[in-house]
Amino acid sequence: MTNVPSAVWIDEEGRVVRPTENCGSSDAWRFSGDRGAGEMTPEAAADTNERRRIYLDAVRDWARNGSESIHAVGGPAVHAAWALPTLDEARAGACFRLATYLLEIGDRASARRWLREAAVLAPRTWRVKRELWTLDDPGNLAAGDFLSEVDALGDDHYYEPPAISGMPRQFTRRD
Amino acid sequence: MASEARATLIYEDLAPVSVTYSGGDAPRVPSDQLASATGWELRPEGLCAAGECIVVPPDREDELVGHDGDVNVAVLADLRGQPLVHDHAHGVWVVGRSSTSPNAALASGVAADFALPDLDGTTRRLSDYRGRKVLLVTWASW
Repeated sequence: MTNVPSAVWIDEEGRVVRPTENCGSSDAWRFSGDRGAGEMTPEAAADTNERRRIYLDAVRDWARNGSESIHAVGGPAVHAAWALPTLDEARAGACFRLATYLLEIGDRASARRWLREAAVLAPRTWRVKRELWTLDDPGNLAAGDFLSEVDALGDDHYYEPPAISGMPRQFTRRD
Repeated sequence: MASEARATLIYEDLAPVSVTYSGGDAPRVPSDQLASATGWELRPEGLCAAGECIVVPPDREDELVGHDGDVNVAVLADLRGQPLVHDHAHGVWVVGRSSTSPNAALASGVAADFALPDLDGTTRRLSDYRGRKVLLVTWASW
């Protein structure tokens, strides 16, 4: 789990029945309000609330019906979400872990160097870039190139919507 | 006799541990500390962890396990297709996820048994909730 808000469903035996996915946000924030401050227009807030309702209904269905719930996708979907990393992604993950350790012991300069290495190896991995951007600007949601890189996504998602029946794929603007 | 120093080893998601480093391409882990440092154990059938065993090719056995019984972390990583990165200044080595072999926990589909403090400071493990459904949510307060 590398971003918020995210959720994973775990059954009574400790097995993952839905892999980690976005659970209560949407890309509506990209198109409305003060993006740096996380503010949303009423229209975007309504879109987000509707997605939360759909998601919570799915959770309730699983709570009632367990493995019989259509939302408890289990095995193949879980393993697909846990695909092996590429060689570069695996190495980027190791560089990221090293950077977090160096941050913990107080060496920010070395941590920055390893985060840059990770960003070169895995340029599409948000957690690496955002850690790098916020290193010198902690607490700033829009630090570094975040907003311009989000804009560059175009029709691709920042928050991939969970694959739940009835969940809208895109936020529809009424400009 | 080669001088020995200490190094820090971080294996996948495990906590950092202090291990012996006497030069070369990676630190070495005494076989009796291998399980706590990496999750792997040396058994007659090979390297084993969480129900998974990999056979060590005969031509790499001496490379993997030294005459003193210590295990070479670089060879372990190479056998499993894992990246190994090293920060020289701090003597830290990190072995990352394999790009060729899923670890046994992922293959089983069982969630990792982590532990975190609750709001009262009591440590809770995921396994404390066996027998109940768990909706595990990460969130932030903005």
